[in-house]
Amino acid sequence: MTRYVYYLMVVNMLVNVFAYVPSILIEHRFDGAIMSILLGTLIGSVLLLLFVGIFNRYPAQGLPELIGQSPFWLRAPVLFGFSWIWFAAGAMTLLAFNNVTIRYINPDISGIHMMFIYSVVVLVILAFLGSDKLLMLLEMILAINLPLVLLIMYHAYINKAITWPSIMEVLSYFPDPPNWRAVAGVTFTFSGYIGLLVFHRVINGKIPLRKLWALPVLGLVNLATTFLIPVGFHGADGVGDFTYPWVATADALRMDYAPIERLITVFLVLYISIALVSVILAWHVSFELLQSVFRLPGRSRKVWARARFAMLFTYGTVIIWMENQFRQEDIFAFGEAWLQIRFVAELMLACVLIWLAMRRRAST
Amino acid sequence: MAVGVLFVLAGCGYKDIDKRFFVVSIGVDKAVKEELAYTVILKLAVPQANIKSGAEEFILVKEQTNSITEAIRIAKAKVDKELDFSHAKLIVFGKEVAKGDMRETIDFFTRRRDIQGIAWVGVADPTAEEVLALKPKSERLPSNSLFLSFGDTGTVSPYIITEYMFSFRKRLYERGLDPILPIIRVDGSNLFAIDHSAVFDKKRMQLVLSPKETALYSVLSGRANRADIKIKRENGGEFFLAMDESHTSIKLKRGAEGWMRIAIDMEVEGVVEEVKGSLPANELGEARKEAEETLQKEALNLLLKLQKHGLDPFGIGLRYRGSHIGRSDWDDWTTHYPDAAFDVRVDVIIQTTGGLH
Repeated sequence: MTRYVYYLMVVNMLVNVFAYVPSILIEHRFDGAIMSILLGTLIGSVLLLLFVGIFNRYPAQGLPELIGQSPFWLRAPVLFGFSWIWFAAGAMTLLAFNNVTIRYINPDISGIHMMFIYSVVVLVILAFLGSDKLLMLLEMILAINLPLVLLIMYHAYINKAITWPSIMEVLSYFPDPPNWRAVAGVTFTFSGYIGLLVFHRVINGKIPLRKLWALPVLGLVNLATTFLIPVGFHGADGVGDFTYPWVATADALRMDYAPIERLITVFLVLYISIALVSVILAWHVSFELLQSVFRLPGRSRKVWARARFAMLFTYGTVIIWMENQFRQEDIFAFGEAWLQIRFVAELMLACVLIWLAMRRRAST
Repeated sequence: MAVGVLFVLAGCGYKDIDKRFFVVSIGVDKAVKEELAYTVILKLAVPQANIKSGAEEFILVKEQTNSITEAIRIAKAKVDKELDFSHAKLIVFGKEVAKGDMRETIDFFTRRRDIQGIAWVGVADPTAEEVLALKPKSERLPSNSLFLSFGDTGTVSPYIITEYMFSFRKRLYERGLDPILPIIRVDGSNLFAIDHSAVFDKKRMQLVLSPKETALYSVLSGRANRADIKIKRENGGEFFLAMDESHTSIKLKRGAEGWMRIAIDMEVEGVVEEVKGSLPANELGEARKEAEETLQKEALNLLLKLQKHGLDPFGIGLRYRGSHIGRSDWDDWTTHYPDAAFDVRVDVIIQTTGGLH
């Protein structure tokens, strides 16, 4: 079962190829993006090792179980806070992809309607599938999509239209000191380990730490792709003007003999399915954490079912409200603000975990 | 219940294919009226039951306005079906428009979601209208012969520069890499001639390259690796070398006092395709030298011509930027490029003299 850790990490990396991270990195391409990528990779890898290391000690336990014996004043804010932070993770991905859908796939549908369709699909899956089933869903989606995504990436790398000197120009800015916003963005691509907070309950067995070396390497390659390929296609100077650099990049791909000449359609459909899975996973984490705050012994099943429904209903309402309120610019502002809050929160969570582990060790 | 809601949501956002007009190519000319900016020409394909060469039908919708958006709005009011731009694979700019601010002109095309980034771009001489109105005898579908010329599936020629919209935009903005577009002319009444090319600065068309220069550019920049070159022999005869393979490397060298040398190494392998006069086997070594000298001279002339106009479609400036750390590299380049020296070295290998020797 330990292979699911890799899936959790990979899906998080993949989904970030598309929306916020490339925009932030490209914005800072002349002031510290390269150093931020390196520093972010380092921080992300350390956090990954830390989270896996701590969860390895407590087989089949998630964060709610780990934190279960600590006092209410610590337990409730951590679980509740992280639940909403991770809800926002799903929300920002969903908002961005909803925006892409109504902009590029079906411009005749209104944003609210499309969001309604997406959120109903996500919430229904959330209501009926447990952690183990979701991991299997993730495996299937990756098995179907990953080869096609790799094909498109390969096609992008060998494309004649890519100007390598532009990429070299951006790389030549490596001495610039790292940038806070970019580091916050970069570390998010490694945040797949947050899934362990809940999914560790169904991951049996120890996750071998030594074999995790592949993930930082993959993450680095992923970041290089997400950042440098748009630069190669649209130039070091011109790439900054695009709302979605990767939509513009996918639009620059052409396969002469493929059934569909324009790869952008294929790319968007692939990415929407990957994004939906990632939203489902994020919200599942959020949902489970939220439930664990309110789970008290002695409540009847019927009450509990109603409470679950109310929680999911709240998720739906909030996301529809957000879609109604946010325009494209707001979505980006929200995403960026969230990335920074999440980075801080994740570091705090790491401290809490270390503290918990030390206390447990002391008590045994 | 949730699934039930989905059925209620199903709208009618989609128009059937028979309610659509497919725009196959877009032309932008300078308006005839003084006070207006553009004449926009949309070429709409008219579907036909049986497809025959030369019997294709299309409609040209022409609008004179100040912006491309307005032109399309008015065009929409003139036709009975929805305009669909998803198959607009070619965008041609009239020569006069190309001499204006191109950054402004292409803004519409990169901003709109339904215009392809992989649409081919060209300059029409003299007007886009003339190019779009032509109906070549061999054409089965509207605009298809130009699509075949630019794509890799049809003819391949070093004289035809292929440029996509996204790449043209990149070059308009990238310091150190200047845009180059093919020039499409109507030759006689029934054929396109695409053998010249236009080099742009960061805004407008500046220089027209002859067919010979265009082919040399294609080879030197790696866009094409097959081209024919005519080599005059010292004994008065001449022969033609068909390149099979070519490889160019550009290196920048910089001395202490700020002078710059641009070293260009070219390796060419080719086949003798036609001989006028004589080319005996024992003179092959000499012929090779002559070929090297000819190519070297021609390449140097092209580079010097571009340097004189301050243009750089090879992207040498971009290489300079990429290989130097710091923010001042672009200023360095602009001060040194005008008096940089070129070192062109050519290596020719003649594989065979063909079926005759």
